[in-house]
Amino acid sequence: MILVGGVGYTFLGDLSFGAILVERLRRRSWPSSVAIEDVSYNPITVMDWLRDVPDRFDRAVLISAVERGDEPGHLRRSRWTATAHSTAEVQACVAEAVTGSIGLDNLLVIGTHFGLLPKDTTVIELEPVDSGWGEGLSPVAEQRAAELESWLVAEFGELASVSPASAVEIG
Amino acid sequence: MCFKNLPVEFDAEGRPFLREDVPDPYSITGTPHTNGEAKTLTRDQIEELLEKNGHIEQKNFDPVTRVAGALAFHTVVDSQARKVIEARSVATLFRGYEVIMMGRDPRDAIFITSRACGVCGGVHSTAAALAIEMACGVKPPPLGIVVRNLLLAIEYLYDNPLHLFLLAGPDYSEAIVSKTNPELFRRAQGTPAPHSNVHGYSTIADIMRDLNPLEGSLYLEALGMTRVAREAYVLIGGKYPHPQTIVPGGISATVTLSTLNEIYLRIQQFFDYAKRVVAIYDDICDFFYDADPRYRDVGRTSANLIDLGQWDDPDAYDATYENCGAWGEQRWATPGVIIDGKLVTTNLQHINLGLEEFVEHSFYEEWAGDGVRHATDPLGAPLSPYHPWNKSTKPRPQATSWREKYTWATAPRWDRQAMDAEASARLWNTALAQKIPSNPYIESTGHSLKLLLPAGRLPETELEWKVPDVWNAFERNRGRAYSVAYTSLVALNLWSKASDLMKAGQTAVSTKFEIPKSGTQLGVGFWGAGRGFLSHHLELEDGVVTNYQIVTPSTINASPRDPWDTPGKYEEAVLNTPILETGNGGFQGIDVLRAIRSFDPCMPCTTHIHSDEGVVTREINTCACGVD
Repeated sequence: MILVGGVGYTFLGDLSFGAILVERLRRRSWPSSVAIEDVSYNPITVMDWLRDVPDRFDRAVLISAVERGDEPGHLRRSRWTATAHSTAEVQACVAEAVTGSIGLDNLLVIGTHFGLLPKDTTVIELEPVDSGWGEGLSPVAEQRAAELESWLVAEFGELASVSPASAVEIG
Repeated sequence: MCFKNLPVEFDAEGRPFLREDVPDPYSITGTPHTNGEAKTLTRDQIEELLEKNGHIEQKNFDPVTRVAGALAFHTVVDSQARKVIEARSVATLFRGYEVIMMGRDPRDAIFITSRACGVCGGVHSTAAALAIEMACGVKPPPLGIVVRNLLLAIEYLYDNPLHLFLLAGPDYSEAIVSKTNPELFRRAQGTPAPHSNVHGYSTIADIMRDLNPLEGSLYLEALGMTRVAREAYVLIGGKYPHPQTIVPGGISATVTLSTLNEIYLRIQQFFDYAKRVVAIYDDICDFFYDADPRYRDVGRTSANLIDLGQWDDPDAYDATYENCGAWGEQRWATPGVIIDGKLVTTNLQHINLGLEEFVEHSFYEEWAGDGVRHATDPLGAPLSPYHPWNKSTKPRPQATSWREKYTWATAPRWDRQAMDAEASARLWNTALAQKIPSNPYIESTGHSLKLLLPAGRLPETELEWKVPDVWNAFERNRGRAYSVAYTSLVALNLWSKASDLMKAGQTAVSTKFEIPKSGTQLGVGFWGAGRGFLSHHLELEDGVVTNYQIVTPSTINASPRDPWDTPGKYEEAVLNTPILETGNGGFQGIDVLRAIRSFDPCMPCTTHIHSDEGVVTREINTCACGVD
C-alpha cells in the first residue's frame, strides 16, 4: 500500500498546498493500493491512525509547502532518511503537535520517533510564494500542483475512469 | 455591589446604572484600586541597574513556534538576589480572526474562529454558535444543549491531561529535576509517596521518572487518554479539533442511544484515571512545598480569577441576554469573579459589564476616540468604550519597545484589575457559589468541591478540592488535576440527562432559524476553554458581521501591562517567582518556566532560553538526505 498524504493549513495561501492537492487527487480514481489522505492534523493523531494497522503502508509520499528559503515556487523532492533527534527535540515537536501546530517537520520527527513511518518515505515540498491568509493557491503554486498531480498519476497509475496525464519532471 | 473601580452601581431592584457624579466615567487617568503584590520598577530604573550591575542580566525565554501563535518572555534577573526584577509577556504573532470575520455571514464564525486554537477549536465553534443564537433569537432543543455540553466536557478531558503530563508534567520529571535541582531529586528518592495506594508509586522519585517525556509511563498514558477523549468527541463532533457539527440552534449530527453508549465507554475510563491524576499531583505539589516552602512563591499571584461558567441547563438556557443572569447561574460550572479569593458576582451580565480591553502596550491603535457604538448593553446597563462590543481591532505592527508597545496580546481587565483565567476558576466559583444543580456526584460546600468518583478498578472515591491558601503555579496544576475529576463527573451527569431525554422521545437536536436581514443585533457567547474563560462578542448589521471580538484565556493571562502599569498575570507570576534552581548546568530558568506553564498557555510554548550570550533554538532539519 502506498500513502499519498497532504499536510497543510486550510485557507493559508500556498501553505495549504498539501491539503488542496489531496482534495484534487481525491477526485480521481486510484488503484486500491493507493490511499490518498489528508494528514493535516495533529501528528500524534496521525500516529494513532498509523498505529491502528501497523505496517499498513510500504511506501509514503508526504506533500506540503515549507519555507526553506529557496526560490518561491520551487518544488523539492527528497527521500526521508530517519535521523535520530534528541529527547528534547522530539518533546518540543510533541508539545507543538498537541497544541495544534500542523507541519511536515513535526510529522516526520514524531513519526520517526515512534517508528511508524514507512521506511520508504518521500517528501515533496513546495517553497511557497504566498503564505498570507486566503483561499486558493498562487498562480505559480497552481502550476506546481498541476505538475505534481501529473507526476503522481504517472508514478502510481490512475484507473481508466480518468484519462491519465503525462509525467512531468519536478525538482 | 461588585465594582470598586468602574463607576457602576445598582439600584434597589439590582439594575446597574452609571453614577452621575463622575464627569468622565471611563477615563483612564485615575489609578484603580488593585490588589497585585508584584513590585515593579520603571524602565529607567531597570536600564540603570543593567548598566551598573554585572549580576543583573536580561534573560529572554523565546519559544520556537514555526506556524501557530507564539509566546516569548522577556525578563531581567538579579542573580545575587535570585529574583526576577522585570517581566514582559510577548505574544509574537498577530492572528487577526476578528478582522477576517468582518463583513461575513455570522455562520462562518463557527468554522473560521475554530482555527484560533489547535487544541480546542470546538470551544470557539460553540462560543460562536452561542453568540449567533443570542443575536438571532434561537434556542436549541434540550438534547441539542445537553449534547453540546457533553462535547465541551470531552474537550476538557482531552485538554487537561494533555497539559498535566505532556506540557507541564516534564517540568517535574526526573529528567528536569535531577538537572536543575539535584538535591531535590535525591530527597525525592527517599520520600515515600503518600498516595501510593492509588497511583502505585512507592516514592516521589518513582513518579518523577514516569513523568519523563516520551518514555515515562505517565506521559505515554496521557497520550493514550487524549486519544480516548478524541474518539469520544468525533462520535458526535465528526472531527477534532475543528468539529463539523456545531451549529447555531444545536448540533447537526444524529445522536442515538448507541452513540451515547459509545461515548460512555470512553468517559468511564476517566473515573479511575482522575483518581490517579489527582493523587499524583497532590503528592508532587506537597513534596515541593515540604522540600522548600519558597516553592509556594513560584508563580504566585493575587487570587483574582474570572470565568463565564459553562454547561447549560436545558430547562434554563433560552439564549437571551435578558435572562443571562438567571440561566448562567444554572450552569454546571457557575460563572463568577473571584477577587482576593472571594466571590464577588455570579451574574453573567455583571461579568460582561466589567470587561474592558486596553492596548497601551499592544501593537494596536486605540479605538476609543472613534465614538462609542453601544453606550449600553441590551438591558440598558452602561458599557465602557473599552468593552468588546465597542472595540475595533486596528493592528499596527511596529518595533518592540518595553516602554511602549511590546506584544500582540491586548490587556483585558475586569473592573480594571488583572485577572487569571483558569480551569481552577470553574472549581473556585462553583465551590463558593453553591449553585450547582443537585446531583449524586458533585457537592459544593461553600469552601470546597466534593467529587464522588464511581468505582472502577479502583474503589469508589470521594475527592475534595479545597480553596487554596496561596495561589501559585503548583495550585494551578493541582486545580487542573482536580478538574479532570470534576469534568468527568459533569460528563456523567450530562450523559445521564441525554439518555433520559432520548428515552422520553425528546430526540430533536437543532432548531431552524434565519439570520435577520435588517437591523442591528448583538450577541455574546459566554463559554469556556479547557484552560478557562472564553467569550465571543458579535455585532450584526443587515445580516452581516460588523464587529467580532474574541477574548481567550491566554489573552487574559498573557496580557501586557495596562494603562496603569499593572502587569498581566504571567508577568506578575514571574515577578513573584524566586530563582530556586541549583544545578551546575547553566541557567535553565526552570522556576520561571514552571510559573508560566502553570497557566497552560495556549501557544505552542516550548520555551527555550535566549540569554545575552546568544539564542538557543531548536532546529529540526527534515532535509537529512539528498534530493532524488
